[in-house]
Amino acid sequence: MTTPTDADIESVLRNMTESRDEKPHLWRNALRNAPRSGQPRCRFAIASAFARQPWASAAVVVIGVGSIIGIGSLAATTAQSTYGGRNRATKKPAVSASPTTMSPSAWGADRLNNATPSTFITPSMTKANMEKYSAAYQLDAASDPAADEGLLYDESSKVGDVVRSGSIYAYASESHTSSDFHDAKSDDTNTGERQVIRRATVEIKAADVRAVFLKVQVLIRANRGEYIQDSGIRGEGDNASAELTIRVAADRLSEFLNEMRALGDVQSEVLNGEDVTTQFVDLEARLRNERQVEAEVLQLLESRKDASLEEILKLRKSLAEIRTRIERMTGQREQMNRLVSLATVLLIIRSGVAPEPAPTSHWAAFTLALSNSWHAGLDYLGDVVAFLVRILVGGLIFWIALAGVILYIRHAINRRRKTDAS
Amino acid sequence: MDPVSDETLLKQFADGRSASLGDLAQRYEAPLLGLARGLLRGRDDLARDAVQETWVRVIRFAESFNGNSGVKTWLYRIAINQCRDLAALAAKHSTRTEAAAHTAGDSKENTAVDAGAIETERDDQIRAAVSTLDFDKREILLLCYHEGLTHNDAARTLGIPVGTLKSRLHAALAELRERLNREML
Repeated sequence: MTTPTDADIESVLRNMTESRDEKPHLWRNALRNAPRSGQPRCRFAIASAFARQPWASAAVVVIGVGSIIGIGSLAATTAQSTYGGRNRATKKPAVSASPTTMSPSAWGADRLNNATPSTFITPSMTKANMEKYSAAYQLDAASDPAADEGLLYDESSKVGDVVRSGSIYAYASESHTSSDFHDAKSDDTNTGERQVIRRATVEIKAADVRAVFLKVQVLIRANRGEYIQDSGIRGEGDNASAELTIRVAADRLSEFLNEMRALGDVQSEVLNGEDVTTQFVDLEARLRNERQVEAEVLQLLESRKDASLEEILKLRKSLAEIRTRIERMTGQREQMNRLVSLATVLLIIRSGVAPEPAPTSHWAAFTLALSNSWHAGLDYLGDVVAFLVRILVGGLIFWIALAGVILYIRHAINRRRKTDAS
Repeated sequence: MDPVSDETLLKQFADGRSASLGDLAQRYEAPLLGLARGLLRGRDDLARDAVQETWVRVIRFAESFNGNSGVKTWLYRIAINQCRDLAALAAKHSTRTEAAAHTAGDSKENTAVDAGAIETERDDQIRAAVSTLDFDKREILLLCYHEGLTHNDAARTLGIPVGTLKSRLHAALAELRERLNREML
């Protein structure tokens, strides 16, 4: 066999690469496996995947957006509950903490229990009485026996008797009320009726706390001995609050409470009464007893003018001790009378929008609901936008890092494409 | 009506018209298959894989085709790269039976006629000699003699000047002849 010629070689080479008459079909297989060119141009691998399955990608987007809105609204609601905030009539009133973190009734009871009646200055007490009961008894011949009216008091005294020291007793009798807070009736004696120390704690909401604060002071009747024991106002606008401890004539308590209720929207009302009748009766009995003893000792002193100096001094010493006890018990009874005669009302005023009047027709109800929904929707939108801004600004570092990663991946993909194409 | 250019078809396909890819395939799939067979020593299965993978890459990178070279050149370049990869892969798992199959496969198409028996044997020798060449030399030879490709097209496909192509072709032919002479001896 001879050596192949160039023509032979050329012929074979052409034959090795000749194309056969076969219908092209490999491109279909490739099209099936590769992304279709009809899809939107996607430069990122993730976007390409989304382009292949638009419904799935749309569902993911909707779920993602919904999750963001849901989390945003939850965050906004939590923030409002914790920090207060706008207080619309359509919104549930914000639960603001009691100044002492206790419930209003507990706080009121706590304040009442810790009150110091000894610091009270009772307007009903005349100056002469104050001097008499505060000074030590002076068994001085120069002293005016008539000034010691207490010795002249007995159970037969009636209301209205002008007993100079009896101003307290007169009020004490007026404080005899029934246990259900009805107005008291005048009573002949001050020892036979129930003695109840009344306390009330009322919490109201008002649009203008300061105005209510001032109105309460106008309602006080000073001629009945009523006065404001403590008061305080703090905050402004929606955060304003005020507390007043008011001493109100016990027989006027229900009337006063009605006046309070008219000032705002009552949130809570707690009434309680402490029956001190037993203590009062006991105190009265002991007082009478001491006075009796005092009278007897005085009588003895009068009748024994010829007694020895030693005996006289002993009698006087006993008399002084009796007088001291009488004064102490009288002071206790005074205090009790003050508590009984003047009920203690703790009024807490908080800021709040007055309830809207109920709509009178279906159309009015519809428009009101629509208006409330509109405002609520705007608030909601504002909260969501605020949340998104917070996420955007707060996560700025992470957004920058994420952008860097995306740019790097995109650069790597483009570089690979160029390598493959070349 | 003037036929649509390759570049227009590719752009149409990139814009979403799948049928344009079919038009391109109508023009180039068969020639590419032929070239791939030659480069892959007659392995029809590997040649189909190479051409299909070529279309996959065309589909993937159709948008990024910048038009610096012609579509035809681009297609052949991708196909040659795929053949190179597959040849390297096949070389790792090659056995002597492949050479026999290569010869037998081609022989099936050549009718065994007494008058052309010598010619067939000579062709087989040439084919066998071409198969023993390095891929680069085989690539030069087959590209330059591939129907439908001019020397300029071949040079552009390989990314070399025409002069370089001709000198490499000359060298490849010289080596082929040398191997054939050795066989004859």
